[in-house]
Amino acid sequence: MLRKEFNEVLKQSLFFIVLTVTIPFGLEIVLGGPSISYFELFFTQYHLGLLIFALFLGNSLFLWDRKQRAADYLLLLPYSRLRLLGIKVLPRLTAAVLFYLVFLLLYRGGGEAFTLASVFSFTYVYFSLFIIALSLSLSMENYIMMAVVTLSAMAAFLGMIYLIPTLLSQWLYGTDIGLSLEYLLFLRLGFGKLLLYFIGIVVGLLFPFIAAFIFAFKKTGIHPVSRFNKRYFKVFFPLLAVGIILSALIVSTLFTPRHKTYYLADKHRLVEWDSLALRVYDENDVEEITHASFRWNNRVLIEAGDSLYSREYNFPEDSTDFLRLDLKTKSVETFYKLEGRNYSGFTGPWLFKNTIAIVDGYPKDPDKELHLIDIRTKEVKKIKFHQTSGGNVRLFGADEVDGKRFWLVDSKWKFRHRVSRLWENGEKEELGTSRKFPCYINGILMTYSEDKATLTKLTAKGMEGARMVKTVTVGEGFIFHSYQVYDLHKPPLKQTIGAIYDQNNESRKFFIMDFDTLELREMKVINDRIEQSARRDPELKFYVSRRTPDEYYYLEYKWKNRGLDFREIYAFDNNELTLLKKFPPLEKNGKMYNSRSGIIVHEPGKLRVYAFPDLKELKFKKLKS
Amino acid sequence: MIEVKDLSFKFKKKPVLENINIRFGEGEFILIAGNNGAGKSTFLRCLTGVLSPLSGSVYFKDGLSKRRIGYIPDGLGFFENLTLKTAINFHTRVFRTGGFDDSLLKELDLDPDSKVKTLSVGERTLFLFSLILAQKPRLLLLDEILHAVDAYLRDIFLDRLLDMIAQYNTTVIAVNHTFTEIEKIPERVLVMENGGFIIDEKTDTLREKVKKIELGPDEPVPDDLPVLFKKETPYIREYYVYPFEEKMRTGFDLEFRDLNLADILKSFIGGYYVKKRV
Repeated sequence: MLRKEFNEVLKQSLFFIVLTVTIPFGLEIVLGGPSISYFELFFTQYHLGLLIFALFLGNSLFLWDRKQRAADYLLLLPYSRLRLLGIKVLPRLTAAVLFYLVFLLLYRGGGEAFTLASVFSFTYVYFSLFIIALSLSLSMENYIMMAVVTLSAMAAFLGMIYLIPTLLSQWLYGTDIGLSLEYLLFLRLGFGKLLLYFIGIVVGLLFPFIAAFIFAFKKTGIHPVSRFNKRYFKVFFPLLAVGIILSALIVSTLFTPRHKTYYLADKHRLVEWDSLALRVYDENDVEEITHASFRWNNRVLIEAGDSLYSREYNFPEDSTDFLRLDLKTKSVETFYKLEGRNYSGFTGPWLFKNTIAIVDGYPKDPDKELHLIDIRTKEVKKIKFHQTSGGNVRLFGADEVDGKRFWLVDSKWKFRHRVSRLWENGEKEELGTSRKFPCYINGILMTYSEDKATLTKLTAKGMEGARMVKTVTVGEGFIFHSYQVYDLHKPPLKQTIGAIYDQNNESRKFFIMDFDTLELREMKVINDRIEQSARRDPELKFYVSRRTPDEYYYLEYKWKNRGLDFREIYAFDNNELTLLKKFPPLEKNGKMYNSRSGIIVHEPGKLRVYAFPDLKELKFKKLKS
Repeated sequence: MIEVKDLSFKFKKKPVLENINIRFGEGEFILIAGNNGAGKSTFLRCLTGVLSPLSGSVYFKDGLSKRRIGYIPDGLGFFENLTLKTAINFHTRVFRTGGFDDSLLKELDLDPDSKVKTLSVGERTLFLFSLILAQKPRLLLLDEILHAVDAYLRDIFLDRLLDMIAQYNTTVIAVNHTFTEIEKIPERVLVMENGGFIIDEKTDTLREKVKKIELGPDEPVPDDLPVLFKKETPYIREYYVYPFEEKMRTGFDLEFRDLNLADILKSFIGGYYVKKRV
């Protein structure tokens, strides 16, 4: 019986294949020319035709049996109804899946330029049409009617789950969450949420159809249709109501407007964003930028002057978009678009003077490309380079020597970091390896062996320009803190900080190094404090950060709610610690945000903003917590 | 072997079967007769599981599986686009018959590569029957199939049917409108009317219980004669008496004649139509 069904489905499928392969030839003769390729015509027709084929496949469940007047014989076969249904559905589902896999292959092979919607949208529509058509195959005998009803059912369902969260948010939050059609068409979600959304919708929409069909089929025959319909709709409508509510709730949770993120930028400008909009607050005013024009959903990677830079993976276009928020004009633009996911440069892009550098390339691919984007003119320069080994690549420094710029690249391969210097004319120099993350400050490259840090002065081109100036015995676990220098015209740093990290990657002892003498000395007052605090509360963590070249802060914190929970913050100056602020423990569901300009404490119903250098609390008139 | 309990079925809102309770034993040959629309075909389809009853159930005892149940519906439904060879392979595989006797097909001189839809009604009936024979059925249900088969093929069919019954002790439940050829075969007769069985008797018993009298146009009819059905013409009046008792021969001064099964069943069906008109 299964073989017979597969044969029948194969015949139907061959018919579809012949049509999709031959029609584009005809179209190409009529429409074709140099600008329209066969593949474009074929793929466009293929993926649109698949939607019709899905309807047909679903509807054909008992179509041929009824046409051959074999309905009674079918029900006489020594199979239970459920097994019979399984035998009927399996070949059709197999065909649907196989054609879908071909679609995916063609999509990846160049078809994505010609698809009308995202892969997720297509997948959802395709399988929904198939399942709904299958379910309605006994309810409707007319194929065209069934197709219309199927499409209407899907559109109605999407409309309901769009409407319900909107109404719900009005009722619960007093605000419209502004769910747009783009969200429904899977254009706006990260992969995890997308999957959840997808599963929720599939279960909510399709489960009533499947369940009603199985229930009705078990109790009635292939005909009479009216008896089937009566049982079918008796089960269908209650399940549909449940499905709509369930899906709407899932959609609502995905778009709750309460998940806000904060960043305090320079000049006391507070940036707040959620999945719907971004708002910039100053003391007296607020400017909102809605999500219709952009997607800003990730952390700030770079702050430079009046600009904040972030990065987001654009799912429907399969690109990584680098976004800039201009705090002066209160506007957001996609200032650069990288094809595919930006796997390399996992710590983010690097800003040097007016250039943002991004590394592009898959981790396992040794061929990479450095993209240099002028943030004023948006001109792009691309430099190809080859790594001798694969692995993730990180930009960690840049400088200019004799008017020529270079970029420092760290590629981690197994347990080593390979350090390279990439000049803008495309030349690459290998500067050795490091056991830990290298860093570059004030023209000095810091690399590590087991218990030593090697300080190398990078001057002119070539290894002669890489002059080792000192090796410092630092002990296992020591590392200098990296620091991004945006403007070389400012006075160079006088000092830099390093720390010893324990096996849990927690910093335990801090050191400071003068660039004049390259002498490393312990920050005794901080380290004594750490010792005391650790004894008092073993769960405390410690950090020393630098906000400007002259400002140092000592922070004590814990981990909470997958983020920082600061307890005490001190200013460190002239070897003295001055307590700036003591924070109570974060409430449940509370979060703290730490930026160069300040600390933000967000707890349910409360938002407090504290600005460096003195952590004075800021007030924003238009800010709602 | 088969027990039917409280079986009911409706088409839309119209009741077709109402609370049927009946049993069928192994090896019985049961004939079901009744007017058109009585529910006979529906009853058979409920027995086979083709239709699911509204309420009630059908129990198959003694381990009777679906593989040993054969059913030839009046529509002779089958996969028409299959060739006979493919159909045979399909049926024998699904029903796990272990083999197929093609003597009947050879007798009909059917080409195994021809499609089922090219067969005539009679040929298709016998083809389906030969498929069922391969199942060695313990239960066979026939729904008004003989009337469309020619006299020669009907004989062949009946011969094979009787062989099958003898070999496998098959229970046969047949719905038929014509009874002449099968007069002597069924041991039990059921008459269906308005979704229920009004008669369930052994054939011999039924023959004894139904008699006919013929009277002239002016002859009186005793008031207490149980008349099932009457047929009147200007010259003669026929009265079908049920239930007949032997003492009526002496009690009424009338000549009671024996009837064949066909006439007996006609009288019941005729009686239904008379009641319906009244």
